[in-house]
Amino acid sequence: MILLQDVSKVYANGIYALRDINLEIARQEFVFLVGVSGAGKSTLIRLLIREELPSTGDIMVAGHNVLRLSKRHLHLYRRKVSMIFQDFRLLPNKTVTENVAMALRVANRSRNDIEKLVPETLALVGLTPFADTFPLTLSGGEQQRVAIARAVVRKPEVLIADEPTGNLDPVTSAEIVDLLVRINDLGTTVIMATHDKEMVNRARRRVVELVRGKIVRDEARGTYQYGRS
Amino acid sequence: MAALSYTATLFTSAVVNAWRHRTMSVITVLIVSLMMTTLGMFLVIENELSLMVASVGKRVNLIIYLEDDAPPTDVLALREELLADSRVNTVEYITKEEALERLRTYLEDDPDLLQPLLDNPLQASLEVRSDDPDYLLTQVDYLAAKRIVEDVDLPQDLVENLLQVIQIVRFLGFALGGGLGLVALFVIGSAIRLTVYARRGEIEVLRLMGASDHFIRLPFLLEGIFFGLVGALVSFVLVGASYIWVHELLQQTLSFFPVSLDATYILRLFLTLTLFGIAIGSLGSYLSVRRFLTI
Repeated sequence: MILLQDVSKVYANGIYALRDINLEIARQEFVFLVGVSGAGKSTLIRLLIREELPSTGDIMVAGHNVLRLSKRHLHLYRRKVSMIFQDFRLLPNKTVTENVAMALRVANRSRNDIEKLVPETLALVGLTPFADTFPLTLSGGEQQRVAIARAVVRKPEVLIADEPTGNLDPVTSAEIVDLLVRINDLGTTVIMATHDKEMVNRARRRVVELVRGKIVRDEARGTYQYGRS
Repeated sequence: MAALSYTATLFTSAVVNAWRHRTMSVITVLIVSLMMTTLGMFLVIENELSLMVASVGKRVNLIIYLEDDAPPTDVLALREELLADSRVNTVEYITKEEALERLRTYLEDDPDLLQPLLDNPLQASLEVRSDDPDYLLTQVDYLAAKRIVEDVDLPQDLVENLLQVIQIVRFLGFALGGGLGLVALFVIGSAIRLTVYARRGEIEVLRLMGASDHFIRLPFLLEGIFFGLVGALVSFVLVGASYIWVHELLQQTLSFFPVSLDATYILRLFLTLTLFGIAIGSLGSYLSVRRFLTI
């Protein structure tokens, strides 16, 4: 599903954000990407969604050679790879339903699809009672659920979560991770960058640890061992 | 139907955007209106003057006074030559006697004035009618040079002056309209840039969700078109009102001016201004979006 080969990212000042990354992630895997701030997690994610291009190496995601995506086809690629963020990034002037529906509308999906898929997805994330409220009236955990609903309503092949629990308390965080695990069980490959030690230890999923731009650990059922090199 | 409601949704969101920074929107609309009103005024003035020229032109006869000894065949040949040009409507031959008869009719009330005349002093002439005063003007020298022609008369000054005024009006209209058009483009662009800036978070989210360029840019283009449309409507009201006003004023002061108020012209004015508004609105926002909305 995802394959990175000898990927390096060097910035103009000569600093390596990523160095010789080789990583293979199978379909329907759940992978934690851990490491301190500045280790390269965000850079890796930015390469996966082609916000940036690597200096060297190849990246394949869901059958696409990410480096060769033309500007014209980029948006089609991004419809297969969904993202959620620490700061949710919801549209504040649209209701929960409209926020989720937007993901389908940008993909030109029919009204029938929208009317069917949006309530289904809201039920999946447990937000049916909040369908017509505005995001800013919701708690952080609920807002992140809206973001997750928006990310998965199109049934993407890959879901990339960039510190999705960074702003949430431990109980809510655990609920979000449980939700991501359920989505993973439904068939979506999930990559989650995180600092959250408790959560990683509890989930017992594959852990990839980055230190100064290099992969130093890749364990199938790993734990969060902060600072180990 | 779905496409229609989708466009309606987008247009609504464009109007909502415009409302969010309404001060800038009002300024934009005002400047667009000012530009379009100026342009519209010049269009109206130019139209009125052209009508006036055409109307004066219809009355203007180019009169070719013929030498007394001009051979009839040459006169006929000249008449044929003049008629050969499609811009010439009629060429009437007025004999010496007819000319005197006309004068008699004209001086009906004072027949004594003609008493002292022993001989008919008037000349035979050709009276040329054309709707194109410009053309008549160019023929004066050519005709005057002919052997059988003694003199050529054309109420030249009025026509010439009107034509000159039209030229000046056209030039001023283009220059001012063009200059203000650039200002309007710039102002629309700035307003759109403001919206782009205010919505950069949303743009980013849409982009990462896989929205196409087209999907992201359309609302901004529609906002520009909205500005252009509102500006066009405002200027149409102003220009239309002054068109009617100027028209009545002209008819009062220049009673010989027979042109009646033209409803189709008002419609044409409406269409011209609306299309121009849409054009300048979409161009302004397109340029701005292309520059400030990187996708």
